Amino acid sequence: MIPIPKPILEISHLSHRFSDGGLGLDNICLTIAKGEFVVVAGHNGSGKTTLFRHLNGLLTPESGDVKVDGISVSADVLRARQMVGLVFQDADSQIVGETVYDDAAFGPENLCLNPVEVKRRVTSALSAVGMEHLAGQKPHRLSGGEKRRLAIAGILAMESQVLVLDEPFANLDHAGMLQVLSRIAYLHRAGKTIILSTHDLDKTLGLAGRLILMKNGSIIRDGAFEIVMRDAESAGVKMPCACRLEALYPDKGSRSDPCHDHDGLS
Amino acid sequence: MIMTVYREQDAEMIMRLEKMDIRFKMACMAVLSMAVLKADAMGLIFLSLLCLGLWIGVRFPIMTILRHLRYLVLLLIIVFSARAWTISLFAGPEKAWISLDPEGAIEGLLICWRLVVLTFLGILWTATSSPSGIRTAVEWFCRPFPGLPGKQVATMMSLMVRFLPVIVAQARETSAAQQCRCIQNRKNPLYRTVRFSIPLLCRTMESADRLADAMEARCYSPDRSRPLALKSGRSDWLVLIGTTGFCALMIGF
Repeated sequence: MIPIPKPILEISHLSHRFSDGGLGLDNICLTIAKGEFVVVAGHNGSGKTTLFRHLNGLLTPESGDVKVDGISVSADVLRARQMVGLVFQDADSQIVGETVYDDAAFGPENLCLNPVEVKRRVTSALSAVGMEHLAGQKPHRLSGGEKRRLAIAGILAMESQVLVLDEPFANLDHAGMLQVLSRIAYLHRAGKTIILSTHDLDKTLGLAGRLILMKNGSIIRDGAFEIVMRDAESAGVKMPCACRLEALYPDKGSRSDPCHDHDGLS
Repeated sequence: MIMTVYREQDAEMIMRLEKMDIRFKMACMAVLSMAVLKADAMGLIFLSLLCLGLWIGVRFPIMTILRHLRYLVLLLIIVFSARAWTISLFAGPEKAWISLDPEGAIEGLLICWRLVVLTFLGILWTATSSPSGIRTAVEWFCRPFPGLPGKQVATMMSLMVRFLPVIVAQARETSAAQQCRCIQNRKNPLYRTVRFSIPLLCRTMESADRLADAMEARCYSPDRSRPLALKSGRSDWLVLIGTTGFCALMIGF
């Protein structure tokens, strides 16, 4: 019998209304298992960021509940923030340290860890994102891809189990995107639970196991990536090129497609 | 900005100044600043020689720094003029309404000299001190004062250092975007200032909001572990005592 993975995130009947009265989230029910790689896609304003902000208590729900590893976020916000690391879309405003090292140390210092432990965590986090050689560098001198990787390192240094990445490929060139994607793939292989939002499903094809489509604050499709991606355009998201090719040449559908090949990333 | 540009030099003097305990460096800077403000011309000559000696030791690219300081010259001209020229609004037709006051001119020269020495000492200090070191020292100096939130002040300082380049970059971007839409054709400086500053201010506020969220997401609390352990040695005490003695002599001149 295949063991059922333990859920790390349980969202039940989550609704959120903005201060202007607009509906941000509408009755979201979702369970995410430990070690899953989930992509959340949807048009701008579909509720992806609002959903992510509930996962570590930056927003409080109007109704419903979010549980992280069995404990409600509202019951212990600090624990939720430690376990669920959120990487924001704009890396520039997320980086707070004067050097790469200082920034990665920001989270562990907030947890009042001793300097030896802070150093161990920072070294390990920077090495996980391939930035240990840039420890003394000023953040504003980093490239877009490096800034995004530093933002991820800042979360890893807190030893978060779940990594939530809000549009991690936005405003990155191809090289920067590959840097970030390869690190995400590596972290997933290392056992982290990954939840990321993107408008470009091609980038996560072959890596993610599950795709959630959102529209107007609700989940409209949720399931295996390869199946749900065919409905992507109903949520205002571009369908991956592999699907388009398959539709154009149905008899060659079984042929392996270069879009699926992510082996070179690691 | 100057601090971030010139910290990359690696002259032996920089290494020595960087190794010095930040609290002692801060105290030396305070004593030197007071001496510069109090000293007369003779004392100022010796203080300037000390400053010059340190500058030669650290081998900073002086011409590049002077280019950065071009607006300081404007300030000095204004300060000097305010001291040196006397304006008599109700002077008769036989007297000039503006005249040079020799005593005021000497006074103005001394003030400008002091400002220049202080600026150069300040650059030297910031360029040889890490921002996290300054933050830790500020926190340490605030500790004896009960109402003063040292940790918050230190965090604010560190954020300011981190975000200055971001705000400068945003300002450049806003200015370039407006130039692309021919803002230079508008001759009214007030209109141009308003059009430039409001979007920049809004962007800065939005960045500050996002920063607050990002800090909260990483469990920010004022009670954090201190990144640096402060350690002082005999050499730090010697430098402080030497600086204090030298400054006392200069004021006594």
